[in-house]
Formats: sequence, C-alpha cells, structure tokens
Amino acid sequence: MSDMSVPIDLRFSLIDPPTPEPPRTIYDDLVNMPDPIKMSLTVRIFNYDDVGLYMRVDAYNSAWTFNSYNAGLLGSGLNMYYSMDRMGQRAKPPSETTEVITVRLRAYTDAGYTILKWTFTRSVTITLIKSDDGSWTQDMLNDFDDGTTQGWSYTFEYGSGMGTGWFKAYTDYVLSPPYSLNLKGYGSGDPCGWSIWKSITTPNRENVFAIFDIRWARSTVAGGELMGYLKRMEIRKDSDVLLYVGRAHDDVAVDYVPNHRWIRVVVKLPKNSTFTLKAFMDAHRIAGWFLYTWLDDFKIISRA
Amino acid sequence: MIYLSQLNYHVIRTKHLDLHEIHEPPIPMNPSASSYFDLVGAIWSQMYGGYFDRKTGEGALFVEAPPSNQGAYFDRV
Repeated sequence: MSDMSVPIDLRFSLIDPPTPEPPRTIYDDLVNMPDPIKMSLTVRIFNYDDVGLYMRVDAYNSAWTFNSYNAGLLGSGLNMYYSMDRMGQRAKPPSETTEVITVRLRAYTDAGYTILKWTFTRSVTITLIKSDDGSWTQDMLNDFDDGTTQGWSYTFEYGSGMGTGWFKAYTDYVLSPPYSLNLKGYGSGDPCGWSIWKSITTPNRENVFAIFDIRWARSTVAGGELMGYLKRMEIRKDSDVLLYVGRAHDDVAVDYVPNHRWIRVVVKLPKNSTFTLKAFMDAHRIAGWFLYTWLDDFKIISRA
Repeated sequence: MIYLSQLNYHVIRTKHLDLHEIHEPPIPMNPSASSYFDLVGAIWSQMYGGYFDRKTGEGALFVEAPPSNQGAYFDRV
C-alpha cells in the first residue's frame, strides 16, 4: 500500500511515478530448491524530497525472515536500483504457495540512520510454484546432456575486443550431469555486455513460465585478483525487460549480481507467442578478462 | 481546401471516440518482479573429471588443487 503524500517511493516495476505501480509478483519454482529457500530482490527507490536522504529497506511477513539493508544517500529528485542479495528466507513449503510480503522503505536525514523522516511501504506477491506437482506441462527442457547447445545462441552486445573462447555444452559446472551450456568469452573494453538467447514459442495456456538456472562469472588471475564486476542481469522478451537484477553500470569494484553461484530466475511469459528470450549481463572491466555464463535445466512450463 | 480523405478520417475518428472509453497508456505485459533465488543451499558432490572445484568460490568443496581453472564440481540441492 502506498501513501502519495510521502515524498519517497519504492517500486518493483520499471514504471516511473506518478503512473500507478502495477501489480508485481515474485515467481519461483520449488523443484530442486534448497531448504530454506533464499530470495534476493531488486527494487527501485525514489526520493522526491527537497533534500538528500539515507534509505533503508527491509520487509516483513510471518513466514519469512528478512534482512535490513542500508542503501546509502539518495539525492533529492533522484532514483536508483537497489539489489538485496539473500534478502529473505523461509522454510521450503511442501506445495505451491502464494503469499504477500510488505517491503518497507525508510528515509533518514543522517548517515547514522537515527533520524527517521519518512516511511513508505508496498506489497508484493510471492508465488512459489511446484512444477512437478502434476498440474504443469513441461513444454521445454534444455539440459544440454546430449552435448549440444539445444538451440541457444550468444551475442556480444557491446564492448571492445570481445571474442569467443567457446560456446558449447561443457562439464565444469553443471546441475544435471554431464553437461551444462557454457559461454566463455573475453574482452578488453569497458563497459561490456553479452547475452545468451533462444527463440521461444509459448503454448496456448494461460500460465506460462520460463525457469532459468543460471551462473555468471568473470575471471580471476592466479593470485585471485578480480578483473571485472557484474553489474546488471536482465531477462528480456525481445526488447522488453521482464526482469532487472542489480544496478545501473558504475565503475565501483563491487558486484551487484552474484558471481560464481548458481541462481534461479523465473519469469511469466505471454501465451501463444513467438519471441527471443534472452539473459543479458552488463559488466565493468578493470583488465583484460574472461567472461562466463552457464545455463542448465532451462524449462518452459505451462498450465491452463 | 478539404480533401475527401480528410473527411473520411474525421468520420472514422469520431465514431471511434463514441464507441470506446479513453484508457490510460497501456501497461507493459510483465507481471514479474525482479528477484532470484539461491540454488546452492547444499552441495551434491559427485566426482567428475577427477577433482572438484577450484579452491575458492561459494559452496566449493576443495579436495585437491586442480591443474587449472577447469576443475569440475556439481552444485545440487
């Protein structure tokens, strides 16, 4: 629930105020998830006050335990993406579950977060589906275990000196052996962006989801020196951004998307449509480097 | 001078306004909020290729130094 008299705003969509925030749902598939499940969330924070404010984000729901995050100073009239890694966790439910959490944005006038000026809350629905409960049709499974790329391609979106090490089914990091899909590329410019993508035709059923089990990385040298940082992951349907994880590009030596870690992303898709589904990454390079993407057990599922 | 085509356009446009409500700009079809979930709560370790993961990295099970960064391991819940 929002209060328009409060000059701060928190959103889950890419739509700016004053256009009303449309309903948004966090989707996940419980199959092969750990227990407890750990959720991360990217939000947009707006400051319409006349002064800069220090923003803090947390959330609450009886089934979940949430962390609190200090997002730092946001100047007057500005907005920002803010990504909260492992923001919340809950016991893995045994069956499909839909619940609503309240995400709270609090604005302070001091860097110590002691003088509270504004509080803004907004609800978001979490739907935890269970794709093996018998109600779903599995329309596509790409496990790459036949040793092929199963219709996936890749693109170097921008950056200089980009080149391909390989793009193939590979064995180094997998969820279902023996293969996952692996892109190994390289570049020398900053920023750089790349993607993996596939042309998808969805079934004519009301509920269609894509499930990405994906892993991103940038190289390290022998001494462990980081040579680049992951800033922003997007899932795109053609040019439409369905999901935005991380933050806008900057030159700070911080990752805003998990490195060297399998994560799951679930997006709802339109029915009976053909489009390109893409997983995109923007990165900050600090030296000549390798970039990596892995994908395994990608699924399209649907039900009436 | 008013051309016939302009008159036709006017008629069609007026009829359109009479028959339909005026809507706000359409909201893009995207109900998904931006989130992701961990897949590494526990490691399903299975030998493949003779060694596990490199020494560093979340959830890595370090057994012996791999000869390169191409060490293999499996993340599994």
